[in-house]
Amino acid sequence: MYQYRDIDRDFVRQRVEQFRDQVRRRLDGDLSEDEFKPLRLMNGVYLQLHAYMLRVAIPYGTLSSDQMRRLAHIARRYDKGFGHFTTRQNVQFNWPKLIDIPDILGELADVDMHAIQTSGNCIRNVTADHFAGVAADEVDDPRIYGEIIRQWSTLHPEFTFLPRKFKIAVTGSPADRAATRFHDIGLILRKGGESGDRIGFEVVVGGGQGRTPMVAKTIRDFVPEQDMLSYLEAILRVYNMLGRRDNKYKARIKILLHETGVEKFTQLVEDEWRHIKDGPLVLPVDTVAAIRADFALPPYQDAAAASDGFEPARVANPDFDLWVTRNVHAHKQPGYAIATVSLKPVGGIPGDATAEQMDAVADLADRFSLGEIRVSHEQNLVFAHVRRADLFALWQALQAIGLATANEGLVSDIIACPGLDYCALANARSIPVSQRISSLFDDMRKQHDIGELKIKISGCINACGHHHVGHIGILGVDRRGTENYQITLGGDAGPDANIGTIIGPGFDDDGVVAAVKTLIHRYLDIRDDGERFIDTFRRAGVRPFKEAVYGSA
Amino acid sequence: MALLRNGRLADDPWIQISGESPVPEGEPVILDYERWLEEKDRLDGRNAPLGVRLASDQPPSLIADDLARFSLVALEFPKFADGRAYSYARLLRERLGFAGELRAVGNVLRDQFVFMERCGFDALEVHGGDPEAAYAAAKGEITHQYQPTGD
Amino acid sequence: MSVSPVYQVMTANRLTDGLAVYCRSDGSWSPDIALAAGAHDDAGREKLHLHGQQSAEDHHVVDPYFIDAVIADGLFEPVRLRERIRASGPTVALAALPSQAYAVGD
Repeated sequence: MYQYRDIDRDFVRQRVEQFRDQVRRRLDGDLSEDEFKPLRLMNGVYLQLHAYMLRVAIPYGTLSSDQMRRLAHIARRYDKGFGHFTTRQNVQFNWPKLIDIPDILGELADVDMHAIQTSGNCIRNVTADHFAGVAADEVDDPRIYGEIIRQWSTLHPEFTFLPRKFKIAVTGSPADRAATRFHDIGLILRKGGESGDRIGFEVVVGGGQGRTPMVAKTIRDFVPEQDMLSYLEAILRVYNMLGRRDNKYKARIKILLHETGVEKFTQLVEDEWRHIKDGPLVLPVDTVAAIRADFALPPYQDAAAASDGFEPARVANPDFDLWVTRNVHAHKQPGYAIATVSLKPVGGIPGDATAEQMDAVADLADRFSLGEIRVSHEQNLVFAHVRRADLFALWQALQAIGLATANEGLVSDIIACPGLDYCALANARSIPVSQRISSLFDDMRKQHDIGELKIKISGCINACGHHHVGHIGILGVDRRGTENYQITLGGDAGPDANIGTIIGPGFDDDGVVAAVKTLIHRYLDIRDDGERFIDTFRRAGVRPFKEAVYGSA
Repeated sequence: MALLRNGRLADDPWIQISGESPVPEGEPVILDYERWLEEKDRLDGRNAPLGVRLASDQPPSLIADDLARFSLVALEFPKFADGRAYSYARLLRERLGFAGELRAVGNVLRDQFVFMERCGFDALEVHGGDPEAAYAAAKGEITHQYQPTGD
Repeated sequence: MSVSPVYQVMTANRLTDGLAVYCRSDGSWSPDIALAAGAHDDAGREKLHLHGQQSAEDHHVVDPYFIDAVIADGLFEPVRLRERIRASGPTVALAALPSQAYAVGD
């Protein structure tokens, strides 16, 4: 992973001291809340329902075991003993005191971490495929480019007061595990150019969820690697100058793109790019090479030795076999595997981990995965370098700490925002609904029989729980003072990006849980062999599902 | 109100003309864009420096062809969170080659001084406190820059 | 059965630690809504309003505002669900073990 240079370390330290001074000025009354708010947001500090919240960046989702241990320490020392992993490869602490936050940021700086630009109307933490670097299907490691973007966007003087927040995701794989088409900018690595073997990007712009969900549009099929930053700068400059500032709900780049039209918008970007393309932002080959070297794959063992005993263990242990079926994925390197650590125990809180679990995960990463951990946008953790021979021991160890749920991509692997239990913006609770739905099917084998089914729950229209792209999406709203839940079907965050359709009137909390159960039973009744829920929905349409829930008209 | 030029308190010889006030002879004046547009031909023969003030929805392309007439361009921050003028400043300096005074006016706060300077502003209209000390403190906070701008 | 009248209670977040706090009749603030002052007339609201303004100006609390509350079992209970959760904490168990619970409302 990326190794901080001295300048990175000095910078992060300076940033901590700068914030310490800003907090002091706020406490002294030299800064009003209005003046302080954007400063604290730029350092990841929100004021939530119960307390401050600190959002820490995990750039492109990669962290070391030492960094994980530090998160555990912060959870224990400054918070209530747990943290929450989010859909944007961040971790959130729910109860830090403002007066402690400079010290917390100092503790993060000790391990080369920060909370810079995890909020505010600026370029946010860059996200990437959580299987980056090891996925069998990828063109190149997106984290190399994620790191370059992280640096370029950090305290970018021109783009610190944009019309609205700005999210960039990078994927190296056509499977798009990073939901790139639902970001302000998605970069999809591909090979192209005249010879067809140069590294570059398809650039998609204007995706997003919230109250106006949109799938990003491709504005350029291929931007060569060395032009990545100038092209991003051109997009950001057009947006900064022309994005709407009169209405915060219309301020995202997706609205500008929509109102301007893709063709005209693309033209504006291309015109701007022409001026700056060959300027100081051209990426030097050796800069890319130096960062690439940091992400070089570690020395692996040969395939046969790495796989020792794996197949017999599968045969002997059906529960282990179940876990392998769902949570273990193909690795570039023969003999190795990628293993997902589910943060979705049945009936638990999606994305939450206790300090003990974080420490244990760090130790397991040291033992089994070269001391490295990934965080996925689906709120799970990933061990990216596990010898197949070690999978059984890893699984047993995960079982001991409650993190061996064999449910990746299944009905209980629910994305949920913190909702009204924590969030100042929410209209309804998300967590209790996800707990009840995941508990509907506490028989793991039943879940495996249902197969891939992505349920995503948001507690308000801002859609942090990605409900628009859930196979089953649930949106909590406030209806005359009570919680009400709307169901959408058919959303997809992957390469077949799609926004779900609302199926009808909403439900109360009991009603929505019952409706989800009904939808799943209808799917089981009408599915063809081997058909996933989303495939059945695409084939049969919304009607059979609607009838199941509301009766036939 | 005080003027910081390159971090030092500086005299401000410029007169900002508001509304329909008359333009004094022989004095450097800053006009808003609309006023300048109205009177640009008449102002041509004037024997004193001319400045123009652009609101945050007035991009520098509006004055690009006339830039040589101006010794000063003032860009407005109606509120500090409106960041359009950062892009305008870079375009004026890096694209249009404007070499005169580039002044930030409006809601100009110390926590933005460095961003402004990096985008090409060399004069900041500031309010309250000890602006030189605030500037020095702000400059010293972060010394590393991750991206090239025109600075 | 008598229905409680609706009172207005002044709430805010405390600047130093962000905790939800409620204004008492003497203008001090407590994380415990049971200790809050409730206003039911213009004079009472005006008094709490001024306390709120003053505390915000003194940079003791952030963004004071009124909530509606009724009396239930002798204690104030906010009318809106959001405020009930804000007053009494998340409705779901914290992930942490009870032994690590950290003191709130000190």
